[in-house]
This record gives sequence, C-alpha cells and structure tokens, in this order.
Amino acid sequence: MREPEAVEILLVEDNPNDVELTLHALRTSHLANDIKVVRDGEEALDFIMCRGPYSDRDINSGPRLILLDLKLPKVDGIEVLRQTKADPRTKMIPIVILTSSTQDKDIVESYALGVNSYMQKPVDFHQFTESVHQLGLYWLVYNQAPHKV
Amino acid sequence: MLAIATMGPLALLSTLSVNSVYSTLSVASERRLSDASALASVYVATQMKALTILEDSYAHRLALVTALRDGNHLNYDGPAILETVKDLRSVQPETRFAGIIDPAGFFWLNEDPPQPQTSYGRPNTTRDWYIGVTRVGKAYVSSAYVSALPGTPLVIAITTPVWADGRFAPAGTRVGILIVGYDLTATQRLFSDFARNQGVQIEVTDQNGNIVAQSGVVPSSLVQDKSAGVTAALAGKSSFDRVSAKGSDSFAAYAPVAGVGWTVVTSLIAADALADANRLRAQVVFITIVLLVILTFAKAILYVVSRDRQTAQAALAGSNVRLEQRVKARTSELEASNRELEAFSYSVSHDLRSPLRSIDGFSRMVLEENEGRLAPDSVRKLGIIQAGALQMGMLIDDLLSFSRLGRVELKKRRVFTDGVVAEVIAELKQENPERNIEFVVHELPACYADPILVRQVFRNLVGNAVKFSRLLPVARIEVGSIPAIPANSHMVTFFIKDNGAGFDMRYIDKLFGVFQRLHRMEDFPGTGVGLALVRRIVERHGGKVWAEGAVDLGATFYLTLEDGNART
Repeated sequence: MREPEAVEILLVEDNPNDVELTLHALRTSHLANDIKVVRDGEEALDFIMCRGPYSDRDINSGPRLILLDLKLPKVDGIEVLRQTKADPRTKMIPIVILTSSTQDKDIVESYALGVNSYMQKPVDFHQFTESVHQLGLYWLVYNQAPHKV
Repeated sequence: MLAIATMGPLALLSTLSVNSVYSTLSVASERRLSDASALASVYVATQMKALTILEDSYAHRLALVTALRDGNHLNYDGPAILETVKDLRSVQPETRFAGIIDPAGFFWLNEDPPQPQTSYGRPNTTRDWYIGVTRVGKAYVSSAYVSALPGTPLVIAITTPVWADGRFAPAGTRVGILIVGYDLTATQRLFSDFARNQGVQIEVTDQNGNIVAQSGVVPSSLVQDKSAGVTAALAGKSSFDRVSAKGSDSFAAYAPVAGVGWTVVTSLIAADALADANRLRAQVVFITIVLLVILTFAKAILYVVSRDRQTAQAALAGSNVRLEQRVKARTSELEASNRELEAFSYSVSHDLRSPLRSIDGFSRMVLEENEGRLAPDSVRKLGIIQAGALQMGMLIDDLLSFSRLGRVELKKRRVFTDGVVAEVIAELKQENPERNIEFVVHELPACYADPILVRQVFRNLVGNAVKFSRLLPVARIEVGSIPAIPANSHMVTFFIKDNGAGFDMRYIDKLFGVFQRLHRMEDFPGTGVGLALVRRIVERHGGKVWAEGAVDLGATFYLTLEDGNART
C-alpha cells in the first residue's frame, strides 16, 4: 500500500511553460502519477529535507527521482544539488539536471557534485518529449535502486 | 676587435710606405698604388663594417626581439617594431627604407612609404639580400641595385637576422629579418674624395662586379666591370696590371674587400705615377692620419653601441617593472570582460531557449489536441511557427559555439589528417544514405593543431561540399593537399573540392562572414555560421583559408595549417 504523501518525481522548475511541457511529456509517457512541482530552489530544499511547510513529510517517502533545473529563483539548482548530495539521508536520490544550459562549466560542476545525469532541454518539442520519456523509463523502471536502509 | 684588426694594417702600411720612399721611383709608384689599394680596401671594409655593426645592434635589441614574438607575422607587435625602425632611421640618415621580413620572406613592414602592418607583396626569397643573410646567418651587405623608389640612385640592402631568445620561440629561431635600404650617394662621394686625396683613381664594385662607386662620377645605374683584375679580386686574389685606354697608360691595382665580398680598383696614370718621392712621403702621413681617423671612428661606434646597450639595459630593468604592472592591470581588465562575456553567453544559452521551446511545444500541443479539427492551412501555419522556432534554436547554438571559440584554449598536437577526414566522410555517408557521392581522398600530411577543432573544420567544409552538391545525381568530392613552397615549408595546404552549386566569385568577401548566406534557404538550409567558424579556427591556428568557385561549377576551399611533421 502506497503512503498518501509518497512522491515519484520531484520537478524543480520555475518556468510555468516548461512545467506544463514537462508534465505533458511525462503524462503522454504514462510514467508517473505522483509528480510534485516546486517553483524555486528554496522550496525544493524544504521539500527534499522535510522542513518548513513540509516538516511533517517522511523523508523516506521519496521522491524516487528529482528533475532539476539550474536557473532558479532564490537558491539555484547547483546549490540544491550540492545540499541534497551532501546529506546522507538524501544523497541516494537520483538527480537529473534538466536545463537549457550547455555551458561546460555547469556540466563539469554538476558532475563534480555527483549528479546522476545531465540533459539539455531540446528546443524541438518532439525530441523533448522523447528525452523525458527515455529518462523516466530508465530511472523509474529499468534502473535498480538500492534498498532503503 | 675592430681596433686591433685595423691596427695591424696601419703599422704595416706605414712601414711599407716609408720604406718605399727610398726605393726607385718605378718601384715606388707600383708600391704606392698597391698601398693605396690595400688602404682603400680597408677603408671600404671599415665603412661597411660600421653599417653592419649598427644594424646588428638594432637586431639584438630586446624591444625588437620581443616585438617579433614567435616569428608568426600575425603575432608581430606593429607599434613596437615601428618604433625601433624609426629610431634606426634617425641614427642613420642615409636609410632609404627600413622594415622587417617575416620568416616566410614577406615584407612585413616597410616604413617609407608607410605600409600596412601586415605581410604583403610577394615572398622575397629569391632576392640577393634574403639568400645572403640566410647563407651567412649574420648581417649581410647585399649587392647594389637601383631602387624602385623615385629619385634614388644606387642602394644596397643590409639584412640582419633577428633571433628568438627563448621566451616566445626556442632560442636561435629566426623570427624575422631586419632590412635597411642604404643610399650609396654619400658613400660614393666619400670613396671618391678619399681617392682624390690619395692622388689615385678609384672604382669600387659589389660582389657581382657592378660598379657602386667611381672617382668623379656617381653611378646611378648598374654597370658591370668584367675585367680580369676584378674577376680575380672577386675570387679573393689581389693583382696588379698595366692598362692602356684612350691613349693614356695607367697602372691598376685590384684588391678584394674583406667581409663584404666587394672589390676595390685603384689606378694611377703612368706619368703621374712617376712623381716626386716627397709627395709620396706627404701621402704616407696622410694615409696614417686617415687610418687613425678610421680607427677612432670605429672605436667611437663600438663605444656608442656598448653604451647604448648599457643604457638600454638599465632602462629596460625599470620599464620591465612598469610593464609587469601594466600587464597585471590589463589582465584583470581582460578577466573582467571575459567574465562579462561568459555571463552574457550563459544567459543567451539559457534564457533565449526557453521561449523557443514554449513556441514549439505549445503549437505542437495545439496540433495534437485538435487533430482532424483544424483547417489544413492552420496546420501549415502552425508548422511554420515550429520551423521558425527550431531554426532560431540552431542559430543560437551556432552563435554560441562561434563565440566560445574565441575564448577556448587551443590544445595543439600532431593530428593525422587522413584519419580525421575518413571519420568525417563515414559520418556524412551515414547521415545521407540516399545520396550518391564519389569521395576521392588523396594522401594527406599530418598537421599540428587542436584535434577537436580540426575535426570541426573538415566536418564543416566536407559537410558543405555534401550539402551544396545535393541536386546532382552523382556528386564528386575531392580532398587533398598541395605541396608546400620551400619558403613556407612549415605550413601545409589542404583543399576540399566539389562539383556542386558553387558560388559567384563577386560575393567572395561575404563567404566567410557570420550569418552570410549566398544561397536561398529552401535550396540549401543552414545558419550561415559554418564558414565563419572555419575561418576563425584556421586563423586562430595561424593559418589562412580561401576559396574559389563558379556558379553551378563547384567550389574549392583551401586552408593552411602547421605541418605536423615539422614538429616532433
């Protein structure tokens, strides 16, 4: 039985259009029913670390995958990545950067901080849908996650 | 050195001349002539030596060595070179032109008349002054020639190699040649006056036997002296001869001029030769004085040169400190503007894409959600909206990689060009399975370059050849190289030739510009950045890129890169 607050995917994205496009892509892939959307880095950290408005959330209840944009209000994506990967309670959660940037600096820094994948959002929506589909399939279905300790 | 070298002949000549006073008159005349000849030979040699010492001191100046950097003319520091050249001219008023020849033999800068600070004209590798300085490896006095500059009589060029000192290129690399065109008019008068004081006639020829100076006349065109005496002197042998010309009988002495390979002919009309011995004695005194003057002159030059060097070194120590401060300030400015540029391209890559994704994504969603309900024309228009967004996305990507190229550090190593071309061709074949293309790839030399960027160059050029030949049933694309010319042997030239749509040579200047396209989008799609990128990469490698073509007859692109076999 699934706990009511269990979340499969946390989508961290500030651009409402990109939120809608990503949700559309995930929906057409029939991949995830439980998607939580947060709109800035601070809210993302609150959610992941179960603090502030999310303090009564169970830290063991997910998410199973974080889709993270880099350019975010308040706290940027790199910082969210750093803190999540630095905390022993959350560092096992796969994080996929989903961003417009293809700057070498961002890619190198993300990998240095332990990101699991880095994907550029293609301008072509068809390609975008396909990429999100593959991504969800891989991390939620094919990939073998460690058992919770 | 020079002082000691001159002291020897001075003592010898004085002794010889004084002795001759007590000899018989005919012997005296012969000896007087040979003495005058030896003296004239030393005099001419000293004059020329003084010129080469001066130019040599300029060729070793730290300012000039620094300005020529690694010998690549693209890296030359124009203003610094100009300053050295100007200084040299102010010291030596007989200078008609002065400049630098780059290692490939091109005139890089010619100060009079002022020329653009870039290689121009043809390579000068067949000129005497180029061959000479290359052979001797130090200051070289060329044969005389008539300058192309109006109002100039005979000139000689003095060429001196400028050697790298290890900071920008391995020590001993020739990074350029300092060339000074020297007007002979003043020297001609000097030699003529010298001979008159000696009571002899003089003729000075260059290494080709062409007369550069003559008693009483200022030669303004090249006349060759083909006499046996001059020919022998050119081969290094002194000789003495009795010549009968125009009814007058004269003695002539032929002597080689040390160092420059010139000759001096002194002659005496027989009747004058039998002059009174006392006159000879007076002349011996004069000879001695002249020699002393020359000696003092040479010493003064040596002194000026060494003092100049000391002052320069002291000034240099001070200016180095200031330079370092300026470099630091400039570096931090550059770093700041680089950071700004990065921030700009960051926001371009990030912020410009999002709206495009929305345009494409939402118009596609409208299409999906209303499948079968939209009028065909509305579907077409939505398609145009999507295509526009995708095209703009490509433009942004290309523009970003173009701007990134200006900042990325080159990681040069030896690259096997044929391997790169084979990979690129395999890739293009896979991407265009429906095309019938005959690829002809010749043997290609290795190059010394950044492998990733070289791959991009060939990818763009061969990719263009594929694209612009797509309307042909059978396309033919040829990749090869052109043998290097000896003067430029460290560069290799490649070409990529196709039989496709070609281009109109009238628009050649637009070919390599950013966002410049010579064909309609519906015929040959593209962003107009590919060739600009090629040019930027090749030029950052110190090479050149150019093209030839004609409408519907195909195009050939050429590029030069450093030879991979020149370095090991």
